[in-house]
Amino acid sequence: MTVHAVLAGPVDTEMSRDLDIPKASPESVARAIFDGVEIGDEDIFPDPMAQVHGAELAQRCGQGARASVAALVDAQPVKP
Amino acid sequence: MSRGAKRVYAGMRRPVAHPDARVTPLTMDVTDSAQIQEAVEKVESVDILINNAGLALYDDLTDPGPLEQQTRRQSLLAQYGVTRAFLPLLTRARGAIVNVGSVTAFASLPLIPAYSISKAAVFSLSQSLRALLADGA
Repeated sequence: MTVHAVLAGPVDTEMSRDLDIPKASPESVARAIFDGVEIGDEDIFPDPMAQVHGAELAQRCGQGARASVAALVDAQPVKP
Repeated sequence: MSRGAKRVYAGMRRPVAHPDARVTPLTMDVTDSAQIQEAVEKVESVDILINNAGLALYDDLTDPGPLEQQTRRQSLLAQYGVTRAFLPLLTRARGAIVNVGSVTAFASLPLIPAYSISKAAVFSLSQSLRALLADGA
């Protein structure tokens, strides 16, 4: 089974109607999400704002280090 | 549906009809575990589960209410609860889970701090589920 995390920027829906900022259309975001699922992207940045800022933030927040953290699963708890 | 989906189950608190016959509305409030279970029982099979329901409350963290509502009810436990309920169907189909979140998972927007916190939480949930469900499931 695959699990995809969508990291979206502002989307033009009811949720963001009070925010006067550039927003992506729901249709374009939906399309980008299914594109991401089809090509097997684990983390999907479905709009221009997310692509520019989100991807950079993900990098800075240690996206690249995830594999090495996940590898710690094989470590055993130390017994007192 | 433009990609050839045979059926789309659309979970809604107040179901509305859709002009495309492939859309089956389902009554489902994602904060209500009984409704989630009732919805699962009406679904034959699922290839892709899309957790899209959300809420953005404007707050300033002075009151715990919005934080509790965002993380427990709307985002975190709702995505967890729906995913858990649909897991048998998804496992059978070797399907995909799509958790819709936000870049505020990485960079908090202080206009909506409780929302930002909840999005960081659901991103972490996605990472753990990905690892736990990756092999054979």
